[in-house]
Amino acid sequence: MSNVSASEIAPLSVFELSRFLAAGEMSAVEITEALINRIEEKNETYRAFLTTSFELALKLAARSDARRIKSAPLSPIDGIPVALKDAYDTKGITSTVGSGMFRNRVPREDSAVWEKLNQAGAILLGKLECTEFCLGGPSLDSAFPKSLNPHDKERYTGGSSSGAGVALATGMVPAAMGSDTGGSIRIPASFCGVSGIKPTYGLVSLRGLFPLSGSLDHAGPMARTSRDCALLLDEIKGFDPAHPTSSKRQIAPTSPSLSGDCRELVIGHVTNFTELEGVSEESQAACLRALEVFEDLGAKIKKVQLPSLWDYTIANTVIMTAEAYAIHAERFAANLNRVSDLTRHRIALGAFLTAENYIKAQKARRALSQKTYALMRSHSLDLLCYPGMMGDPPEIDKVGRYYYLDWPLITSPANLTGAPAASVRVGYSVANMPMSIQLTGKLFEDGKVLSAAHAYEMATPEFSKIME
Amino acid sequence: MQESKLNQMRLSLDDWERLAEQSGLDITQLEKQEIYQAYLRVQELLKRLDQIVKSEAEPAAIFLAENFSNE
Repeated sequence: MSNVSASEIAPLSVFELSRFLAAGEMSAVEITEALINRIEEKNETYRAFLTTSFELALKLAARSDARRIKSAPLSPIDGIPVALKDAYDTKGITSTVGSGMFRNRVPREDSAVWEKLNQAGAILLGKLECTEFCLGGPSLDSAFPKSLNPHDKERYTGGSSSGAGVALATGMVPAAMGSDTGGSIRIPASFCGVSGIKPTYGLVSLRGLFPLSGSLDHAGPMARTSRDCALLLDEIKGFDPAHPTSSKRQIAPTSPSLSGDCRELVIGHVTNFTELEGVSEESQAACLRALEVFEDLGAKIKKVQLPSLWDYTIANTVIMTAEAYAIHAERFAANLNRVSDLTRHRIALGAFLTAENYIKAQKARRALSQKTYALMRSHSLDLLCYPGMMGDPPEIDKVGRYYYLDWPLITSPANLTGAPAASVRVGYSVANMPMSIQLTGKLFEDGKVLSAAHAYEMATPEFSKIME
Repeated sequence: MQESKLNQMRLSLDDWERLAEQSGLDITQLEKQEIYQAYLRVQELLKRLDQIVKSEAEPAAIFLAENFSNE
């Protein structure tokens, strides 16, 4: 058994763990055993893992240790334990996509993301709870136990990558993979107080990620720091000829360029998002304070206005709902009573959208993207900044089935435009819930987004903690 | 620009229910009412996009022949 305790390992970042591994001060087996202990201690309460793969993890960890002794690590994350949202296919391991209908679904192939992480030497601890078919939540009648927010169990974790947010916040795993169609990485990252990036559309292959809406789906990393997100992104990005949405345009590794230096950055503060009706005063104030930190770090801040958040929200919602219905229509006609109440409502709405609705939304997507990037060019902006969420996570039983038709989705612009977007924690509210900002960049400038997020996190280390 | 007939067209609850029957979805009367309300809200919000794109704007999905090879 390990000489290192679970409570010593749990708060460590991927970056720190990889340094200990490189220095020979810890082994991958020790780290893996400690995190297995942590999961066994915490998962019964917080329910982040749907499936664990401890036997495989220990085997992979032993192989990683042997590699280090015999030759060299495969990558900076060789020997680092990770977990995947249960929407990623894993050969021979149940992949439920959060649905009771897929309770016994065992893929024959690995997703591109796990293929790449495996090739980089990462260690799979298991599969993480997600809301049914990645539709977002919360579902009160879900087939599987829902993850609980460690900051307040009565409040929503955010979805759909809910298990990833909770597993990171409670120190069960140092890095995880989420996916994001309307905010499903950034919402749980924000509500659970961790980091996450939705990369540029097409930068990370979607092969083997169960689709919600192929033209808006993004695969991306979540971790407790933006530097860790960069370490993961560097391993999972890359052209995949086997998936039509994968981009041939690639970017340089992001992690080596994280400097903490913001002196060359010009950040556009999107005032009409920050001051929007419904954004809490605390969220607005937190965003303004974060911008002051960036100014202190040398960045130049300009106030700008984007098109209405409602325009992005409705285009995103119509595309997502129509595409999700097209994916699930046949299955649903026969099994509608086997899915959760929330899934039934959200998917069924897609049956009533017309071709004209969908085409209009797709045309608006292009027009809104053009306006967004034109604004960034005309103001020489590197990044845009606005609140990560409208306010504190709501109480679980107070989230409406169609809440995104009552309040606009502040995460939707980056899905619609395909822009890289990071959720960066910026402190705690009066209710002691985590708060965040969003930093979004130009297409394929994921490194710039992560670099700014890293600089902010280095300047505000007091916001980093795990929940016991 | 004159609003197109299609944009003005909203399904009545009766028509909508017939469409629900045709879809084969087994949804309760209570669920139908809530989904119908959401449908109306979507149609209302979609009108916003008429100010952003014209119906004769370029196609939503662009097929570029150069993206495909004969191999």
